[in-house]
Amino acid sequence: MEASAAAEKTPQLTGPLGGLPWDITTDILGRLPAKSVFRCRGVCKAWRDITIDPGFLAARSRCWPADVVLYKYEYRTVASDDGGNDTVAVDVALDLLPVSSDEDTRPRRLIRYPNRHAWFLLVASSNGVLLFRKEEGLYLLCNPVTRQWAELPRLPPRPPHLKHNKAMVDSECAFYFHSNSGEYRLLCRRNSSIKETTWWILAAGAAEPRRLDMGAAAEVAKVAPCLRTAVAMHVALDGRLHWPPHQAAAVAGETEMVVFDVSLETFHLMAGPPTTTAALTKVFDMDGLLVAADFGKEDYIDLWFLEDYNSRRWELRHRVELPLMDDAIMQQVWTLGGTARPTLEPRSLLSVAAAGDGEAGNIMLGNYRWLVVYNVKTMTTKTVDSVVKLWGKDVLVSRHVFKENLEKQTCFTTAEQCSVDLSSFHFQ
Amino acid sequence: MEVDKGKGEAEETRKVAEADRDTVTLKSSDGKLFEVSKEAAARLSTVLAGMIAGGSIDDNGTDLKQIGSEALENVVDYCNKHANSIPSAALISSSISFNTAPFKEPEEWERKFVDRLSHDALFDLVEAANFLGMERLLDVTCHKISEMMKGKSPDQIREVFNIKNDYTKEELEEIRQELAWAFYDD
Repeated sequence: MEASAAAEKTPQLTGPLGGLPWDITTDILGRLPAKSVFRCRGVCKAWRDITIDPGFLAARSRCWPADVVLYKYEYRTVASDDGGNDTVAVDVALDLLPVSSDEDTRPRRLIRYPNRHAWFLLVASSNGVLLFRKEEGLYLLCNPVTRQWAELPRLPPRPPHLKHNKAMVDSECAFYFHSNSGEYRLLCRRNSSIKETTWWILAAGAAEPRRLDMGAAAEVAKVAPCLRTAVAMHVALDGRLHWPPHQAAAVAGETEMVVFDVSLETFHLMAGPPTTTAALTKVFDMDGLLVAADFGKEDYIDLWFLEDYNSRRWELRHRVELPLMDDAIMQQVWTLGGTARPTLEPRSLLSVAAAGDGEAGNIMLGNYRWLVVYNVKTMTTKTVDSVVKLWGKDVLVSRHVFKENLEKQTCFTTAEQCSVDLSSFHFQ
Repeated sequence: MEVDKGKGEAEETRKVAEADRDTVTLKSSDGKLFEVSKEAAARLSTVLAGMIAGGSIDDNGTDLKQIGSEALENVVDYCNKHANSIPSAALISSSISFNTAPFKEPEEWERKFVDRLSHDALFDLVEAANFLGMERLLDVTCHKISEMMKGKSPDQIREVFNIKNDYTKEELEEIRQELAWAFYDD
């Protein structure tokens, strides 16, 4: 009797798919792109139950391949004041390129928005959510897959005498997903005076920003060069955020990394890979291992793996030779006054990708002039031509990695319900 | 296979032949026999690998009562094709990640292999692959079914897979409202 009551409650699937074990149906639906998953909710109750299940959505997110975000300027010809025509970059588009791309994989469009002064700026990407800054202090979160938005609480106004001091502007240090609370959080740094630095957490869904009391640990972060620049993207791993290494004061070739513990909410230092070009290093994670890609060498990129987190043992596992450039592209690069390799200064790392797809063993490295996918299992390198061939066409490889997340976040709303006008964002 | 010889000698030869045989014989639920490469069967099916290692392979046809002859023919066909496909560098690298990469794209021949199947044959093959612990074949067939769903409206999906709509009009309207953008084609 109990069994039949349960059968009434659990929707039953009819048709040939009904004969398949439940986990296989789940496997099949988990392979669908986001839009199709949403459409499945309209097919029948059994599929709705599968596709709204948090376990299903979390498993899909884990398996879903990571993409590198590309910026693309979309031009339009408009009439100019002198009666002629001007080509104007009217829109910024964010395109996605899978980390496991082949030579000819084409980027796919994610979102497009107007390219205007003091408009939206993409600051970070974490766990399927993009962080935009509209003006100082106004942060918007966007899940482009569920098309939902959230606003972060604003920091209290800055003291009037600092308002116009550009050097004292508040800065975003880390945008991350706090899994214990299910909150998206932004760690901000504010220079309250020449001497005083304060740290704040802005959490989506919270009414007020929260000031951190770090005590002595704040000193670590105060001097760390990586926290002063947006170029240095951190990697979240096991409840800790890791910034790229910087030269340790004591010995040449010794490096250290700033780490932020998201539950203790304090900074500490750990040993980084031994390199003399720490400022040209980016970090990412690969199958749960911390990896540092050293772009500071002439003809190759060194990949340092943190073999054992506890003993801080770094191992130089791979040396990725840079591919020779195609003649036609070289020609183009020379004509436009470039060199074969992008100039390596820390700032140029702003538009360099270093991202791993652990499942397939692929690592994407490079920028719009040379973009390669290195496979750690076969130790082979492929050049992703689809982006390189667009050289000079205003495509930039960003430092952001995007991973679809279909989970419903409680404090997110539709664009219409948001207090900011978001009508000029176009999803694809 | 059996050659007429003296009794003791024949037994000896049979044993040697069995150990040396590079195929195994499988029997479908309806009693049909199929021969498959032992190496491919062991490599592609965890269940068959276990049976081969455990010596529970019957030379006269190992009973697979859960699998009909059409599905078993496809399983065997898949194994043999897999055994014959040239192990290029690309194939070797992809076979390493077979069990770990759920979204690994099928090879061209695998795509063709499942494309020619009828719906019923495809679903029977999924079940057979599942029963035999054939990770890669399960991957390829599930991929094919999900391909059949992509870009279709809920109505079209119900029609293709013969699924009954158990929503009331009001319930369906509510879902449509909530996910309006997902239900439109670009």
